[in-house]
Amino acid sequence: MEQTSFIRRFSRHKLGTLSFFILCIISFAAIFAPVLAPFDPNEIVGGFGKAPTSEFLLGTDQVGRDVLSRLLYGTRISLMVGFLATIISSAVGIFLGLLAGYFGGPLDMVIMRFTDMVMSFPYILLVLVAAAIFQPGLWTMILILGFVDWPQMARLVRGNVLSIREKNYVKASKVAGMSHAYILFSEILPNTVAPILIYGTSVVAISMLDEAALSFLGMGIKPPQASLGNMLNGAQSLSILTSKPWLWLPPGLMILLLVMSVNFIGDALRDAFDPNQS
Amino acid sequence: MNEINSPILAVSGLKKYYNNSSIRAVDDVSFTINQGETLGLVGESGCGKSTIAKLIVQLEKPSEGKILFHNQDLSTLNKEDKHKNKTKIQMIFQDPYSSLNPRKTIGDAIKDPMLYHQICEKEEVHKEILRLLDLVGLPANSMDRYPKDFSGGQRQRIGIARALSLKPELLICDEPVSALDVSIQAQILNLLKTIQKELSLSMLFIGHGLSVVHYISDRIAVMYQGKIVEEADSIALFTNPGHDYTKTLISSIPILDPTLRNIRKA
Ligand SMILES: Nc1ncnc2c1ncn2[C@@H]1O[C@H](COP(=O)(O)OP(=O)(O)OP(=O)(O)O)[C@@H](O)[C@H]1O
Ligand SMILES: [Mg+2]
Repeated sequence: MEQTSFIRRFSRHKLGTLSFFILCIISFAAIFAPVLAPFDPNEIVGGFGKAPTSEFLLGTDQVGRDVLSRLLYGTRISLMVGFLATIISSAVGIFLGLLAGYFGGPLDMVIMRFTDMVMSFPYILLVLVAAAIFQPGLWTMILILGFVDWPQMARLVRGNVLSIREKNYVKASKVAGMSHAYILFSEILPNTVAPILIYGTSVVAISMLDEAALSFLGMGIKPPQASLGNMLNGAQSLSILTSKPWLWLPPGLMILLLVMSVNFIGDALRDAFDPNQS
Repeated sequence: MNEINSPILAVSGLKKYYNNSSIRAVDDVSFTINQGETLGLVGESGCGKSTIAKLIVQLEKPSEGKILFHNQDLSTLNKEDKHKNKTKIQMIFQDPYSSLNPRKTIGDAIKDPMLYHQICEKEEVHKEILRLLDLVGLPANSMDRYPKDFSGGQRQRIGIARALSLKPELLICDEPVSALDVSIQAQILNLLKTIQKELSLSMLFIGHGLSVVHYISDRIAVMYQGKIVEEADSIALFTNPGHDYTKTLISSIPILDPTLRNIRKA
């Protein structure tokens, strides 16, 4: 019965609900890209930079590849980067935040100093340096983004743990002699799920934007593999911007759609988790 | 058996200082609780009552002094014995709203510690929870519900069931009725009193007013600014109060309680 009222509160957020369905459709299309894409995304199948036709629904790029097929595969990459990077950074952030907040003392100090240190580096510089050091590629990018995004998550979780560990139900568990693992994962963690999920959505959005930015700068996904950032990278010149909008409009709009949907879902989650809205 | 007179808990020279000794929350306190006895602890807000409770259940470490449970200092036990002894002292909290995890069903909240300490078999646990719920006067279907479905008084009943599930010998009640409506207070007090008798529990009952504490306690210790200033039999305390602060406490009781009124007249 908890779940039904949660869904009811979530669905009251119209944009969030719409975004959820949009994201489902996009994810479906991305997952089934190999089936849905009309062409091989990396094959030259048509003329150079041809406008959309009934055969090439979104036209072809400058080397004659089908834009629609590349869009589907690129979206797949963006979603993968967005979600996997978020899972990695959340896992690291949640783990360190739980330890720091629960045990406090010297362990807390060490973890938080380390967190501050990572946070004090200019974010983009950190990503660029890491991208320059390691072989660029999909997994490198996921790992890099995963390992720069965790500090905020760690702080968020730590802050929540600090207040939850003072609750009587945590004290009752301590008095009952329950293990630290039980208290951390069964008493405390379930009560931090809401802020974690809400913040997590913004990390998903940021990671997808970072993928686009890095690939656009040529330090992300290696061409010819399609990614939304790579597609934009291929459409940099002014003449293309003005005369061949089918080269940059689809990936640009897709990024916009993805990021906005994820953020609206975050908003709806925030409302749905708020116990004051019944 | 003459066990009634052997103390289950003996506290001596207990001190708890905070902020480099600038706050003396508990300042050289000694008392005993006998087997099957209820000791009341009264005092104004901030006098150190909860701190004593936390020290006894080892949520805090004393700055000085000893707490002996069955003549054993629990803080010096090895890990295994500590674990075994963890079930024997349980606590009921003042604020029933934060004492239950909002994301756990009542059944799970009671079940997990029981299984962890192997208090009962996995197959028996369902029956045991039903028995406990019945004992504290809650319907069987409470088991699958979440704390938000319950009132303050009902939550306190759940807290009592959870504490009892571990079969404790000593129950620490830290102002268990202060946060409740006056009409509910008597119900919970009666429940505690009945359970205490039935299970011959030993109890430390903390409160800030004498009327509630008097009702449930065999003996009462009066606390003032971190120290115990007077300790007496529950009735003797009223008929012959020794300390000025005790007299203040007595005079602040509304004369509604007929038993107290008679004692005071006498
Ligand atoms: N962790 C702490 N750090 C510093 N001071 C503390 C801490 N815990 C308690 N104190 C102080 O110790 C004193 C006693 O607190 P305690 O909670 O034991 O009082 P109490 O008698 O239970 O009061 P109440 O009736 O309000 O519950 C108070 O002055 C309180 O401010
Ligand atoms: Mg208190």
